[in-house]
Amino acid sequence: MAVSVTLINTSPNKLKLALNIIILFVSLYGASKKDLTEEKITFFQRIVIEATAPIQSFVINLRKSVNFFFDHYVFLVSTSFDNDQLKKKVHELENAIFVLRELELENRRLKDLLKFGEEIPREKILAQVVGLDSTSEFKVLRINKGSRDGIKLKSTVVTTNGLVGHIYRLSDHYSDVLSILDQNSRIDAIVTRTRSHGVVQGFSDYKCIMKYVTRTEPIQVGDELVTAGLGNIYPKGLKVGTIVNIERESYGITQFVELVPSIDFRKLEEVVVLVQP
Amino acid sequence: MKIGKIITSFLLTILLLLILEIVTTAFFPAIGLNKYRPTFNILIILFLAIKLETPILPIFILIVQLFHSAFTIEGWAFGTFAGVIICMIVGPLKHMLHLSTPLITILIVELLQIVWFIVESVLLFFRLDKFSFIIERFWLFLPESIIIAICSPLFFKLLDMIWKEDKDRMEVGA
Repeated sequence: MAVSVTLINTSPNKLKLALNIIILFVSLYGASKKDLTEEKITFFQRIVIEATAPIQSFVINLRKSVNFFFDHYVFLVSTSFDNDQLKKKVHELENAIFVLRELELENRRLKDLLKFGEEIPREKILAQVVGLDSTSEFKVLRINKGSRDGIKLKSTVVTTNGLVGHIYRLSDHYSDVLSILDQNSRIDAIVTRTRSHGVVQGFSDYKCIMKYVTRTEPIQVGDELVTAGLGNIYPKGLKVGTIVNIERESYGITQFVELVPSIDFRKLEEVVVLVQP
Repeated sequence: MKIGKIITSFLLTILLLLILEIVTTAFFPAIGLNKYRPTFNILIILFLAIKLETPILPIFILIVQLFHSAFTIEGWAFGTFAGVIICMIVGPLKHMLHLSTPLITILIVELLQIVWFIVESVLLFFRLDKFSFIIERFWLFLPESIIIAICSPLFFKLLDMIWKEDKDRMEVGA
């Protein structure tokens, strides 16, 4: 069944054409001004993010509770008829131990995160990932800390394993992180073994490429990369990834270098934001 | 259609968009679907473009995109441009587009998504000057657009209910 709704009875062709042209021009202007490495949040976006991000956070956290419920209650229903009170008690205790172990692991993880980069003179703010970007071609994470928690635009985001990205957009209680996998991300990096310079750029769901490495640089597969500290965003010495493929064409002055980030982005739960004082 | 009804229907549409954005950005990743994230804003804009007969349609598209921009760094501009172009293409063809069966709805939605992809990609290419990005987008777009197209009869029915008017003002397709 198709429903066609007429909002204005008179022939509105001129108004329609005018509005189409105006909105087209406005959107073209918006597209030309769009910066895909940093964005100042608008009042409207701030309201929408602040209103919806808690629900995103709730949905993400709900998964843990649902998993726990299914693993430890629903799947045990059939066997519970055979178990006596004592066995139930044992299960409850086992569940409690499991929860405590999970908490201990989380505690350890968080402690490691906070200890990480003690030598870096930046304030460290712990945050949890609460959502991803709505479109799959952009590799952006939403975290549950914002400007009210002291986070600033372009702050570096890391874990104990290495670099995650930088703060792209800020609201009061939430921030969007442009990850190093995003094609709009650029990181000045050096190969630790040879001290060769290059620019790391996002390439795919799990790989980055290193650009502008001259053909004469003796880099090898397995070499590790760290941030060079140039560019005024990332501090020096943060682990970026490991080279997994090098292609030297018979022409050109650079080589094609692929690397795998030191972080498994699929399993990313907590991050640390390094804020410049 | 009364202005109150328009506002109510549009607010309900925006609410649906917000729910779908949360599903895409939080629920899908929570259940392990990280790679593909169908963009439901396109589906809503296609519904508005196909079904609504109003000169303020571009403003509706702009508002939908503004809400969408809170969930993606892509922003509102690229999608608004593509949406208005779709709206201008669909406009003269509206009397020919009868979404009488789910299969036809799926095919039309897929076709319009391809147009959307081409328009947005051209704009992104001019802005970013990166062809590899467009290629990567295409491989993500393909499965995501098919999912959106398959879901479209169901969501169009839901949106039909939201935008339903009094019977004497409705045009019911075959």
